[in-house]
Amino acid sequence: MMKSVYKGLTVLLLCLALFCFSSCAVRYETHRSYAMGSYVAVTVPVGTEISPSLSGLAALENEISHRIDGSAVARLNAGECCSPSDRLLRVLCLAEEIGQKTEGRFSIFCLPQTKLWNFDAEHFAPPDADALANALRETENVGFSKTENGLVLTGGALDLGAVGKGLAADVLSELYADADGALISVGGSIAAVGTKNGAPWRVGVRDPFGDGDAILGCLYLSDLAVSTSGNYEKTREHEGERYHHILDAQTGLPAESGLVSVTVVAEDGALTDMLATAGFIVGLDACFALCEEYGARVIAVTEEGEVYASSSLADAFEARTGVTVTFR
Amino acid sequence: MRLRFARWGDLLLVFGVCLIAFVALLLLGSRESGDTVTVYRDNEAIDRFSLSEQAGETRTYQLEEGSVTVRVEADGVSILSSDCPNQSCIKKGRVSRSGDAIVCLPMRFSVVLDGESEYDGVTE
Repeated sequence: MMKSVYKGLTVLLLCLALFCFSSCAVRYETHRSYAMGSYVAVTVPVGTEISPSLSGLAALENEISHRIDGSAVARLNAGECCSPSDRLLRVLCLAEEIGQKTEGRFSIFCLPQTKLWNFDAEHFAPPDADALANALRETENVGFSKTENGLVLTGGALDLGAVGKGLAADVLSELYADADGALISVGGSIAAVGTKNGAPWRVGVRDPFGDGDAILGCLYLSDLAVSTSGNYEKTREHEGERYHHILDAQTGLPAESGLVSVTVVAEDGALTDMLATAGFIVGLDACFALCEEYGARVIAVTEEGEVYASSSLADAFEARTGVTVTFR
Repeated sequence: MRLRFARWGDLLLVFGVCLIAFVALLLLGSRESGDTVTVYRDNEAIDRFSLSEQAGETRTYQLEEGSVTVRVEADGVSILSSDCPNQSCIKKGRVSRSGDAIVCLPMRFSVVLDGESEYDGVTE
C-alpha cells in the first residue's frame, strides 16, 4: 500500500516538473525607442539588459550620420581624409560595388540630391529643373579613394539613408548574439537572432496595397536579416502629385521601375537594406539577378499587384490566403 | 493485463495531472486580449484604454512638439490628426490586430494594440 503511495507521489512530482518546464518557456518583452530617425523595437527575453543597445545605436549614429558634425561621414563629406571603422569601410565598399552593378542608379553618394528633395521638410515641394541639374552634376562622378592615412571622397557626398537601418539592426543583433533569441527592428529593417523558443521568428511582410496593418505573408527567419523598400513608405504630396523617396541617382527623380515593394532576405542587414533599395530602383528582372549575385533572396510586388519570390524562399515564406506568389 | 512499473491508478494520476496542466496553460496563455490599447511617448506608457469601452471617442495628447489625436473604434484605432510634418501616421490608417502599432516618428509617439501578435515583427 505504502509503496503505491510513494510511486504515486513520484509520478505527481514528475508531472509537476514537466508542467513547470513547459510553462517556463522563455518569455519575451518588446522595448520601444527612437534612434537614428527610426522607430526601434527590440524583442528580447524578459529581464535582458537593454541599455547597451541604445548606446550602441547612439555610437553608430555618431559615426554614420551626415547631420552630426564630426561624424566620420560628415568629415568625409567635408573633404577630409578619414580612416573609418572596419564596419563603415565594409559598407562603403559594398555600396560602391552595388552602385557599379546598377550603373550608378543606386548610390549612397547622392546627398546633394536627397538634400534637394528634403522629404522631411515641413512644406514639401519637388526641386525645380535647374536645381536638379546642378545636383546631378555634383553627383556625376562619385566614389572614394584609399590613401595612406585613410579614405577621401572623390566626388558626391555620403547619405547612408539606404543602409543605416539595416546596419543598425546588424549592430544590435551582435549585442544580443548570446541571448536566448532576439528580434530587432529598426524602422522596418529586421534582424532575427536565434529562435523564439526553438521556432523561427515570424516576420510579416507588409502588403503595399493593403490597409495600415495588412500583411502579404509571413517569413520564418532564424539568424537572418530582412529589409523592405517600398514606394508607399515615405511619400509627400505637392499640388495633387505624390512623390516617393527612393531616388534613381541617374535621373535624380523618384524611381519608376514598375515595382511597388522589394523585400530582401540575407544574413547581413546592411546588405539587405541596400539590395532592397537597389532592387526597387532597377526593376523586377535586374532586381532578382542582383540579389542572386549576393546570395540574397527576394520578394517583389509589381504595380499590377503580382508577387514574385525567389524559389529558395518557398520553405521560408508563407503567403496570406488569397495572395498568389510566383516563385522564380 | 499487469503493468510492471506502475499501476493503472498511477497512469490515471499522470493523465489527470497532465490534463490539469494543459487547462492551466490554456487559461494562462489566453490572458492577453487585443482589446487594450497602450499609448507610448518614447518607451513610456502615457495612456491605456479599452477599445470596446472607449469606442467612438477621440483622445488628444499634448506633447512638446504639438498634439496628436487618436480615434478609437470598437474594432481598431487610428491617428486622426498630428502636428508632425510628414503625416505618415495618418496615412497608415487603422490598425486592428493585436500586437500592431501606429508610430508617429517625429513625435516619438506610438499607439500599440496590446496582446500577442501573429507576427513577431513586420518588415516595411
